Amino acid sequence: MKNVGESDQPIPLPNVSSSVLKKVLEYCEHHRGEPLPAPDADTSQDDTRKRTTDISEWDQKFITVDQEMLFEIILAANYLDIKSLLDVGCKTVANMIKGKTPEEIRKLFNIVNDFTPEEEVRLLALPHSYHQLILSFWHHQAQIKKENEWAEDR
Amino acid sequence: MFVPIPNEILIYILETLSDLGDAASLKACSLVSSTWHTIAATFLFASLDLLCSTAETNAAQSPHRKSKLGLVQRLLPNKKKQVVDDSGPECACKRHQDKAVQLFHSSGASACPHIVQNVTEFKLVFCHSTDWPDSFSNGPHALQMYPDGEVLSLLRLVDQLSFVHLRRLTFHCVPQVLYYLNSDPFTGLLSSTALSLEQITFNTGSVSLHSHDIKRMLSKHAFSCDRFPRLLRVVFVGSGQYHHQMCLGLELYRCIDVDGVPSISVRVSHFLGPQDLLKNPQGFVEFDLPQCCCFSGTCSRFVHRGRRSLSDAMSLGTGVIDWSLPTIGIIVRALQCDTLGHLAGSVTLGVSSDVNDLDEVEAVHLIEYLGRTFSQISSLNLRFGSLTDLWFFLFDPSIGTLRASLHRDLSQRLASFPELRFLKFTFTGSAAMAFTAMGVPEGEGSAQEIVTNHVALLDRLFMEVYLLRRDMHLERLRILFQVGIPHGPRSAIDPLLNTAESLEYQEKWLNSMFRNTKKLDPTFLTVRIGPQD
Repeated sequence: MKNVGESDQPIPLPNVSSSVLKKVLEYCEHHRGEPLPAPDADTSQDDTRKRTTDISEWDQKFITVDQEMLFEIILAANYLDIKSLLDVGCKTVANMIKGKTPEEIRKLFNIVNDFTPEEEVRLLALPHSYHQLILSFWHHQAQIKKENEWAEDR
Repeated sequence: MFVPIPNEILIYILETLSDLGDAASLKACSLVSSTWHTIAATFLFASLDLLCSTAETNAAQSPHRKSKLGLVQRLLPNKKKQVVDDSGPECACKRHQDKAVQLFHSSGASACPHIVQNVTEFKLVFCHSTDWPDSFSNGPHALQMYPDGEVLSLLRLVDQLSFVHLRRLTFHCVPQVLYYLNSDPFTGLLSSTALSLEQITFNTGSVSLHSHDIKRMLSKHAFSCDRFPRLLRVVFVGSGQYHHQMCLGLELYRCIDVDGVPSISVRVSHFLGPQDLLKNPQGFVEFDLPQCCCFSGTCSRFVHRGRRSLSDAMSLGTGVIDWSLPTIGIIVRALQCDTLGHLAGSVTLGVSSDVNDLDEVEAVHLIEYLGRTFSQISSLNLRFGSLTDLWFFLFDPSIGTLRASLHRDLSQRLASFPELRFLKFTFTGSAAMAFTAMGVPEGEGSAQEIVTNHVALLDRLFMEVYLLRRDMHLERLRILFQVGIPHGPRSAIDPLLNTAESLEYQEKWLNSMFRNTKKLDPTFLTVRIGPQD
């Protein structure tokens, strides 16, 4: 490996199974030579890169695996700090979630609804529900950030 | 086969949905299960900015802005880029169109544990306007001398540490908030123990700050390591009107070395431009206080070892930290460092070409001031980011010829630190590139010629310092000339430039350039080229 020097010593990767590592290496092999995202890349470029669910054809085919493998690939990408692979994995799951109801998401990932009936009522039925609060706050957060940006631009 | 999504990647998924602006999916995710709900809340409210402003209309009574919810779908909780054009209740100066603090209370969010307990970064934004009469323009008009009831309630929330996982607390535009927090009716910011708090930042805008306010603030709120075991930084930031976007920061660090011994560092920095002032300052002074343990308050761990707090060591002072005239010299003096300076063990000065005060006090006078103030230091590190900065430091404009232009008082000043053992000249950025022949500095003549001229001046300076120290019978001094190899695109493009052979060659070349100093004592000066800190 580059910058590690020559050594016969094995590099332990306790969190990555061999089958997952094989997939990760396949991904890295395919994308070898592609420019890495700079660690201090301009945020706006980074945002543009992130604000799309587009996944290349090869990546789509590569990531078409069962859920267990998909999650393990994401975990391995995170552990090995392969940002582009992490991005592909997360976008894939995000695409699976997109447009679904909570019940559909539960079915998709086999999750048990463990809210008590009281909690459900509180979360879903209150006039000032938690979600309205969340949405209100997104709005207000953005207002402040807008103001900050305006001040910075000045 | 079904497998649960590990929690650590659920955060990434939510982040991706947030980056996509998919509020509906985020909402759906938060309703999947209690685990997902908690993780969503952690993610959504980890960073909370609230605007404190005044308006005639009470937000609680204003009509609910349903029409805006469509736009809200696109909003991101933690990203700056997504904005909407909206009109709501306005604050007095009409710049802010929001009453987030009031809504925070009226909507019940302040009583919602999922929100309050998940906040790790909290910023209170106080509106400041220059378009209003004095009573407004001298401070955030939201506050005047005392905040309105809801802002007060929020400060109480902060005070009572309802934000139990808070790590970073920021007050934005706060001169009068500082006065308020220092005044008697307020029992004390963060009046109980804060286990998680790591940093407090006070952004005072362009309004000047009295140096005694800093001492009062520290003293009143008792930022000891008993109450705030993780509090490592207290930051004061201001932006000046002297020059567009000139910013200045005063940072107080609590450092703990590998043996667990604490000390305090004080750093004053300035930056001209929109970049991050604190990470990449143009010029700075930093000194350490090894005898200090906590920022303020009583420290049970180290009191028996004769250590005291920074606020105990500080003079009350009468200086004014005038952000509108931000130069290092002014700020260091305004801090009344004469009461702290004799405790300092080392000083680092990030020299920049605009280090000079407006009254044309030169860098050499700043060195003189440092010599008077920090009389006991054993290490002085002068750091240069460009050859221009070095030139301004060395150059005496009253002397005509280039070779003779070394400032005549400079060697005297540098030689006069009685306890000094190490004098470091550290070069980073374009200065380092020039010294390692990796870049071409600005200015006339070839790069080689410019570098040679600078080294010749330094050679003379070092030689004079050596002779003066010898004549004054002062302690033995060593000079380190250190060039940090920049982490930049050039070295990435051509890694050959950074090979061991290449660096060895550069070191030899630089050593040979200091022939006069080396002739006096070959061990007096060490030239080192290595990776940038």
